[in-house]
Amino acid sequence: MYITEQSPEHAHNAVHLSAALVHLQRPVHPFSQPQWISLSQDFDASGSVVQRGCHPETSFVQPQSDGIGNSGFRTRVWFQQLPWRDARLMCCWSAACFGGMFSRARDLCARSCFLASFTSMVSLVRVFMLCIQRVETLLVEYKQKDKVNSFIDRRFGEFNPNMTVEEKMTKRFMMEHQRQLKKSDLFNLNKDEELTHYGRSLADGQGMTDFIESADDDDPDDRGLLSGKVFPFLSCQNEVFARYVSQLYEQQNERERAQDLTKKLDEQWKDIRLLLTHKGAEDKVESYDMVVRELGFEMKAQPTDRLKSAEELARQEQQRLQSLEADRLRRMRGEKATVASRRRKHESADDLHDDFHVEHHERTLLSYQKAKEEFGDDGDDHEEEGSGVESDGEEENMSNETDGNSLLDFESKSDEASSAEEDNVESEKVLGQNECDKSEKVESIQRMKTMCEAEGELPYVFAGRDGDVFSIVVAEYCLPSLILQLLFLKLISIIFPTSDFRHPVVTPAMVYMSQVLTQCPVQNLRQLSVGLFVCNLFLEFVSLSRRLVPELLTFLHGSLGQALPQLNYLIFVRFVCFFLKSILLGLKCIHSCNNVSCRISALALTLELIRDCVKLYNGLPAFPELFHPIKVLLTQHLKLNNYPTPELAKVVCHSLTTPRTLTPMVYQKQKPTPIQMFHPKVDYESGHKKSGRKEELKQFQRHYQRELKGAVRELRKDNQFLARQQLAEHLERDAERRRKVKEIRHLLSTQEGEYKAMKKKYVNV
Amino acid sequence: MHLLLLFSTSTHRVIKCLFTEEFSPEDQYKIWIRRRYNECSSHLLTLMMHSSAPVQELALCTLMRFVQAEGSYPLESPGDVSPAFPMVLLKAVVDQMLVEDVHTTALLTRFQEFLEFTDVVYYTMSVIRASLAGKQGLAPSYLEKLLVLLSALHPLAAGGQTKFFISWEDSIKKNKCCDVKEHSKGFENLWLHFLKNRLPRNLYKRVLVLLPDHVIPFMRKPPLLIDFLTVAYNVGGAVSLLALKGLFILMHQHNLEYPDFYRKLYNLFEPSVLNTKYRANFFKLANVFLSSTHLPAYLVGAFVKRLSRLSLVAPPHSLLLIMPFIYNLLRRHPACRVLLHRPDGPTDLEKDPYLMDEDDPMKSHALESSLWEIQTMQNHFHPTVAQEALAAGHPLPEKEQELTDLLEMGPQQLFEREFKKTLRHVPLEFLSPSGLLNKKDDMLALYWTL
Repeated sequence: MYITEQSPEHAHNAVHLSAALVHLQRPVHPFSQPQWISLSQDFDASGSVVQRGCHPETSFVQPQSDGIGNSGFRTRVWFQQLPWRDARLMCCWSAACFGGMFSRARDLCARSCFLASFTSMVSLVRVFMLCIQRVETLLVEYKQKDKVNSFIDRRFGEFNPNMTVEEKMTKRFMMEHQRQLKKSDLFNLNKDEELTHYGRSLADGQGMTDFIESADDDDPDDRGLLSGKVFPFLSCQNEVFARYVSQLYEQQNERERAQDLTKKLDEQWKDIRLLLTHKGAEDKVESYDMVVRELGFEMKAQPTDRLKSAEELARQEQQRLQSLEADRLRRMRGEKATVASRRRKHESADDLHDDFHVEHHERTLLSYQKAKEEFGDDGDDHEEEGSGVESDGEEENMSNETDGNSLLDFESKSDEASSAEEDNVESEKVLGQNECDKSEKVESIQRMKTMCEAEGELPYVFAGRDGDVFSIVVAEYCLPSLILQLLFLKLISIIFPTSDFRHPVVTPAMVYMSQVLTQCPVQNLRQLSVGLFVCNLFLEFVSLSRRLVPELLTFLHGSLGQALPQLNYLIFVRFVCFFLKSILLGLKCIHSCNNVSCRISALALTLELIRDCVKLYNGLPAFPELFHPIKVLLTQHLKLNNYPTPELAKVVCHSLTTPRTLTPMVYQKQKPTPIQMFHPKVDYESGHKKSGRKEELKQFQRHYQRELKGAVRELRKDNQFLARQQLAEHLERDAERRRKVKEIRHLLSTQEGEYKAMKKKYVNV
Repeated sequence: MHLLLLFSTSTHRVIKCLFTEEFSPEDQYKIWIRRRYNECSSHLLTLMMHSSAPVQELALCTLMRFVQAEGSYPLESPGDVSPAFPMVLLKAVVDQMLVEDVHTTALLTRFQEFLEFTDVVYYTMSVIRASLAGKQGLAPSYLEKLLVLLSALHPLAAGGQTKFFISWEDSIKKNKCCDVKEHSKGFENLWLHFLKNRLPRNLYKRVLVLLPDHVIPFMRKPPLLIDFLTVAYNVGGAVSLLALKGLFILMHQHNLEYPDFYRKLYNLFEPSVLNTKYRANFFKLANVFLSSTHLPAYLVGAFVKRLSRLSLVAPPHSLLLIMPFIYNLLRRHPACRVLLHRPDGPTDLEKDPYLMDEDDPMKSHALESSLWEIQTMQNHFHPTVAQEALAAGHPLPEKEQELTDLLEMGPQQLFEREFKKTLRHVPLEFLSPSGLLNKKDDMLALYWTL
């Protein structure tokens, strides 16, 4: 179908078409003239529809009734087959396509319908397109069903939209002409045949015509004669032939010239190439390059480090200490190391990102965090030997100085004291060790001392296997006596930072100490002094971190209770489970008691420790409740007038009565939770991650389902379409039959009428 | 010894002969031999007091065989209703076992073998009851032996297997000694008789341990134990803890109303609780008692505050139990959460409003206070405890924490748990050591010298 400018009378057909579609009797326009709603559709090669809207005055639909295989006609047929509602919608839609026609569409009853169904317009378009497709495919098939013969249009270029009518005509003629030329006719002189060259008449070649024209330029009669001979088509055909030949000739010329030029160039190149290849120059370049590269890789002279001055060294040392201190504080707060975690792990180029990695079992070694020294197994052995040798040497030196009881001063005293009192095997049993000889003790203490003095090497002795450093130390360096155990605990505080929130050595040690304080019975002065030593050590452990040790306070409370004038269970019932059998520190009558000084110093130590505790825990919110039992004991029950230093108790008492203010607990402030947003959360990674076979299979299944659904839908629509078609045909047939019956009846009735009339006439006559 | 064996083998014949009553020479022989039999058994009874344990046991076994034989072939003609169990002999044996001052542990353990027979159990119970009747002020050693015997007595339960020591005829089997009701009646009477005695402290505890699982299920009327348990509950300390379980069973299954139960429970929360070996049991029961969400807030608040006070003297392993316990209570009772979160409270309190010494939870002013003790525990030296305490600074998660694992936690487990944690890096003290006590401001060096 194509659009041409035509007069209104010619477009009458189109008017009828559209009127039939919309049931519109008379198109009305506010201005003038009958207005036409024009529909124009173009089918391109792919079958999609191009809608083109034009002003009604200039363009009209012209059903091309003169051509064969007219698609426009087919469209019209199909339109008539559509049910009324669909047709109205179609009109609506096409009206929408005519931008300027909106106002005119109001006259159609379909306008409101259009407004209401604007949203469904897009889908309608698609439906429409599919319907047209069906008209072209399914309908044709349906029409040709059960038919052996079919009409195939084989005219040349009939369906080629790129060719104009003239071209088609010429081509068709040429083909017809060539078909007529048969081999048998080639030498047939009788036939009035033209001589041709390359299928072209020699007389009609362009060059020839030119020549003829130039020759007989001034003789129009000759030309008239010549042209008069040929058919009216032929002039056109000759022109085409001439153009074609000249084109071919030009092309051949071009090709030859190009070949000549290439040959020439090749020859010239051969000469030049000989000039370019020169061997001697190449060698020189290579050696030069070598030299240049060597120079590039050569070490450059660097400035040596300047010797630092004493001040600078001190500052550096201070900085180092500060950083280490900061590190310690961080560990005290229990925070994780940030530097180590931030460093990215090494990733191999062959890494498949499947989280597979070979695990390395590394020994955890003791080391400073900065200088990561590593020492192997042989280091251990060496140190053991070394310490042994040193201690041997030391022993000789020290034997003069020490006279057998260079134990801890306090311990020695309590040892003597305990010998007078009960046997002290029990306490030893509790701590899991047997008492050894005094001389042995001295020796091991000496060894300890030397170990301590052999400064930086000492930690290496404790380099154990993974994790449980503490237990290994206990197992391998099995300590022979109680005192050594205590000193060993002290060693821990020297070697390891005791302020850490959690430490593989210090934490178990503290748990051990707390068990010593709560579970070991205290029945003699010696045991009490051991307890006080552990208390003191524990206080030293927590002095930096100011952590709370309830067991410590409980023990001190019990120790203080030993100084009561008489046993008073009532005080202990509530808060302390202390194994009371006798009063150890009581001084009823100085002269009647043995080891008086020992008792006095023990009590003094208890008070001192309580004072330290008060200092340490002063800021805690439950401070008064913590110290309440001790306070009660000091203020109400203890009478310390007999003791040499009653001031100390008063000082402690005073420090316990410091006022404090309490604020009720509140939850820590939390970050407000953000309000939930409605924009979708996009997970970019999930697509990559789920690349398993299962997921792929699922996708295939989904795709298959979708396709199946679509196919079923299409089939259903095809069926509907066919049913509609069959119904239309049926109705048409019925109508035809009815019409024919009517006609026949009519005929018969007229015959009858005539017959009767004649009869009447005849009778009358 | 040979004589004993001879007797035990000839008993059968002897008893057969005793049926006839005529004084024929044969009868006279029978009378004579019966006298010998009596003499023999009395000898055996004295041998049960022998110093050597094997002799004692052998005597007991022989006597029990006598009992078996006498049961099968009664000395007197059997009555119609009751089977003739040789009660006299059994009573003599049992009495002999329970005699004070003599070490009869071996005998008691040996006798337990016979207590798997239903008839022996039944008649032993009646024999003991008979010997207990009318006796007052029994010696502790006697009571102790009796308790051993009682703890070994398992009365016939409904649907339980019956096993007979003496091979009764089938008709006799359906009598008292295999009736469940009679069994439980006898058992109940026996225990009630036993509990009337004044028990020494260690026996008291053992009885309280035995009661809930061993005695109450077999009793017909467990509420009869109320008096005993109430008295025990009022004693205080560990005894009260032990009475708690029995009371719980009575309250739970037998609708016992106990006035001031929670008040007494409140007073049981003392520092000593944390160190007894019944700690796990106590906290388990306390968890059950406080699991109701219908308890008044003041009561729960008082419990929470009291527990938090206890935490000030508790060892670390107990703290790991107490703090989740407190958190669970606060989860169940949202009204008590003011203890952790009171945004509009008075800012400058001088004293904790809570009164620890007040026995009545209603008057303890617990809900006006805050859990400063838990706040203090945030500075505890043990890292796990400190972490647990830090949880109090935020709103608690809704889900309750499971306590069963924590109940059994002891110091040893705590110590081992510390070793299970593997830390990659073991930090060291950065100050180089300079001798054992030579460190700058070494606290130990202030008071101690090497």
